[in-house]
Amino acid sequence: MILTDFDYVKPGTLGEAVALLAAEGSRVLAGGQSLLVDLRTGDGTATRLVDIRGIAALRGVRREGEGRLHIGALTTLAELAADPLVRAGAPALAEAARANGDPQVRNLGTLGGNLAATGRATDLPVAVIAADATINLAGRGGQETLTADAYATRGLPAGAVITSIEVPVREHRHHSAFEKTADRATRYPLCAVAVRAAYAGDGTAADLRIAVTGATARVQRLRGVEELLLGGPTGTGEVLAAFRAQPRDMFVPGRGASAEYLGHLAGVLTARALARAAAR
Amino acid sequence: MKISLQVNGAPADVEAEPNELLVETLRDGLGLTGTKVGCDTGQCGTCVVQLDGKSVKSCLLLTAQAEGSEVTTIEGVGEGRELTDLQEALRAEHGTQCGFCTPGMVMSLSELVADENAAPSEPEIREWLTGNLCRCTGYHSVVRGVQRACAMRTADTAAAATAAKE
Repeated sequence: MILTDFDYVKPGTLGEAVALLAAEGSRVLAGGQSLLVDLRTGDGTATRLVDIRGIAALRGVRREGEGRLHIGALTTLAELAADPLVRAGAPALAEAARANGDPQVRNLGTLGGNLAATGRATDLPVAVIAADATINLAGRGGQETLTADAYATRGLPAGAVITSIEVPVREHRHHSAFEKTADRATRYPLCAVAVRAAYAGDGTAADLRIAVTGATARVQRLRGVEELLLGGPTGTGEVLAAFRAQPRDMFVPGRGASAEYLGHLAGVLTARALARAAAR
Repeated sequence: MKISLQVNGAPADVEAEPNELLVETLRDGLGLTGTKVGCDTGQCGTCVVQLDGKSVKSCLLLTAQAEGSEVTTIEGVGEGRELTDLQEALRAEHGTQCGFCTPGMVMSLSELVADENAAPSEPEIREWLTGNLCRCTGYHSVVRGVQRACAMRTADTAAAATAAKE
């Protein structure tokens, strides 16, 4: 039972949704798999839920020009995990969508909701950041596009609705993978890592993006680790050494695990992800 | 709010508050108490129903969100009081135990074995059950039940093929 009272509205267009969201206390409702829990437990509040699932423009996965995928924000985690275009072009994103082990949550939870869930580590943000995706938003100021790095540093602007993401797909150059150790009770990541790498002829890393969540204060790119690994081999030894060379305060304790443990876990998961990416 | 649903194949027009959850409408409004409330926060899976053929947690869905959808509950699987192959196999393998999680398990697993040729492996079945908790800890017998149900169908199909040849 949800004890908070709120209004429920279901606009048919993005314009109507943005106008409705301008009011204080309005929140976006998509799959509801985080929001309804928060309203139930009292961890979140709302006076009006704006159900965006009736907006057709927010659906679908398609190729957008040369080497880009356009993925609508209402794409469910189940659809994302199974989509042939996503699996071929951005496998780390499909793996991240599949990483929530609960099929019922995957059937309702959406890409946009997973990216927008605030205050908790979720699976998709690392994959979106590692993929160098851009995030399309609609808000009071109109449409806006956020780069993955801006999203990683600043998060999402208040009151904005995620409409879609665009993912660069370079099948023959970049290889990506996602790894996660889940908290057993909640299935949220204790730590999750996504990588995207390109390799030179001799197997050394020519281009590298690594993103982590759970082990750090917020989801972020690990530029320090990337810099140490760039131009060299990315075996387990090198990766763990690069993690050990990071500032001590980079990793933070969480979900009963120490910072030291989570920092090591992030290194192990990164090494696994890079090994799988290299084999692709 | 007035909400129109299809529940177990029949139209159901219900009056629901905006913050009413589908599980509350099913149990308290429509008297379909086979769907259970366990944790009420989307962890335990006792409230799983199918929404347009996909298994979902009815404690994580507002009734208003289900407007126009086809909802299937445990009361709506099988013909009348006949058990489905899956239910029969779970019974035969003693996959029910105390029974509280069973309706949710059946509604979840029905999606896994929806395809007639489905033959999920033991790890696939166990992974699929991530969203369903059994606190009798009886997963072994549930897994055997799912595999038995799939084997029953394969045997039926083979028998039908043989009969057709003859």
